[in-house]
Amino acid sequence: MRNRRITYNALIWLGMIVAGLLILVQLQSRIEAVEKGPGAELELLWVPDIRVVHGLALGDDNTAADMLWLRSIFYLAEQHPELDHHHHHGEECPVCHGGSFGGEKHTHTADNEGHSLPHVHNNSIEGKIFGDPDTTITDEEISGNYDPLDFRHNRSLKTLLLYDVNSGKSLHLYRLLNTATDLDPMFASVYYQGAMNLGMIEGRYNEALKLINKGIKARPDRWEMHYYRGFIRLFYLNDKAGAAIDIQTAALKPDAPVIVVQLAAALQVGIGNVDMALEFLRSLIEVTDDPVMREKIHNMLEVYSKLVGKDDENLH
Amino acid sequence: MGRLNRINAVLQTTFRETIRNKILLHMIGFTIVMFGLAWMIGSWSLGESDKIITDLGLTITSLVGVIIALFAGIVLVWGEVERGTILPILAKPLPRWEFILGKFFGFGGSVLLVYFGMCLILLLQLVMLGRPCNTEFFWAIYLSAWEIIIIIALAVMFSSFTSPSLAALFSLMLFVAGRFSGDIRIFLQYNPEAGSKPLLEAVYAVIPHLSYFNIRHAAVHALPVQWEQLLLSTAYALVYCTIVLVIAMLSFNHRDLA
Repeated sequence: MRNRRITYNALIWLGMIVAGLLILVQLQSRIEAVEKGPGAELELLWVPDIRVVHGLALGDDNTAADMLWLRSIFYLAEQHPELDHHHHHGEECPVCHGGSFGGEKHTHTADNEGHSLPHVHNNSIEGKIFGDPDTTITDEEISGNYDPLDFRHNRSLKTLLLYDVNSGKSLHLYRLLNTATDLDPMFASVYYQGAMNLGMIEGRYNEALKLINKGIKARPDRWEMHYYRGFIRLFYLNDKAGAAIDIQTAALKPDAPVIVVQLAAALQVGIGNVDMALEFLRSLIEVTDDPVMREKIHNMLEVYSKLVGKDDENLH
Repeated sequence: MGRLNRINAVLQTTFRETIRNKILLHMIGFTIVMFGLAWMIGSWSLGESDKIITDLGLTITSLVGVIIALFAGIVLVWGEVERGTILPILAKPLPRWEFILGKFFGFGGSVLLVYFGMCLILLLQLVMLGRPCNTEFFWAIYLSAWEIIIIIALAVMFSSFTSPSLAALFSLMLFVAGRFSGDIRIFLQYNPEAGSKPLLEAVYAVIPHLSYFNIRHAAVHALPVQWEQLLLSTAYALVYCTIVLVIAMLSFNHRDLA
């Protein structure tokens, strides 16, 4: 009898807890719906002063910078939901007529009114220079290796290059990124990935350049800094000469991937400086020990030498 | 030898008591959950998961170690006094200062065991995820351990002459002030004419300079750590703990236990 009463009481308590949890879930969704209403964006716009963040972090500025970086990623995901549900693999792109990105096929979905969403038609640097729509560059070639678990990156970075810039969004992404880099000046990703986000998604080129210039001063050892500044200059500011210098500087960094070297040479050729491209490649082949890199540079010298109608002495 | 044996006896008893404390198990469980969270957060970071997992992992282990040191340390001596169990111990005879030392080493040993256990779990997590671990990672753990030892010494000192709530408050204030010691130094350096300078200088001299023991940025960015920095920081921790323990022993010697 006593056992039955204990079981009965336990069931009642358990039932109350379950009912309470269900009510909580309902309340949560109601509250979140209200949060998305007018004025909700003000919460996203609030970026604490660096002194406040530093104080709250109790000396762990690195961790605070990490949190601000994540905040900026979530901000982008919230402000640009269109980045999330495009580019399914396996279908041919009707907009760029079969071009592929990153070695994988992609597609564009329509917006709510059935219009195909805009994108940068030609998504490669070489294509931009030579007008070849079929030339592509991979994710790894742009920004190095990424963890396959980085699902936000896999969605967002791949779609970034296929989007026209949305302008008119808030200034506060820059403040988030700037504060993160003030807290942790060695945090390289924030500079170049943040600059790409600012430029490509938000359309804030001046702030993107400001951020990446800060990164060049803080992390002059990283090839990505000059590379991305060149990228922004080339694609969005139409400054081919400046882009050529930046990408060439990036190519001269010790761990720059071979694609950067290729692009640096291609850019010089693209702006008519074939001799400069040849000179650059010759100087690089002298200091490079990597046999794969040497072979690729050798091939480039062959190709570009033919453009000026002469054989290069380094080819023999 | 008799003295060492007596201290050792208190040390071992305190160690066993602390290790059996269920709060430690809960903290370890909490830490493991936080490591999982760090891994998940790192996966959202657009390619910076290495940095974030290492950053968060080191921060969590350090903070949890400090929390355990603070909140278990403040009742270390007070608990014995309140329960009255200290009187038969001191009647052995056991000098009061040996009791304090035994308590400090026993409690410190158990907290460090838990701390290094958490660091080992973090290391295993990083290894399983294929993340690189550099030498600076281990030096960061080493220096954080000294930070925890300083907090333990402070908690034992305050526990020896005041109530747990006041001991917690004072220890926490010193911990926070210690973490900001770098900022106080910069303020003093760049504001030589500040009116509060003498007071700040006095405060700066007394608070533990916990910023010396935070080299997590070096672990994350693989920045070289100089031997001189490691040796001087260790020496600073040893001297500071010695001073704090001497104060603890002196105050406990004169405390009325009736």
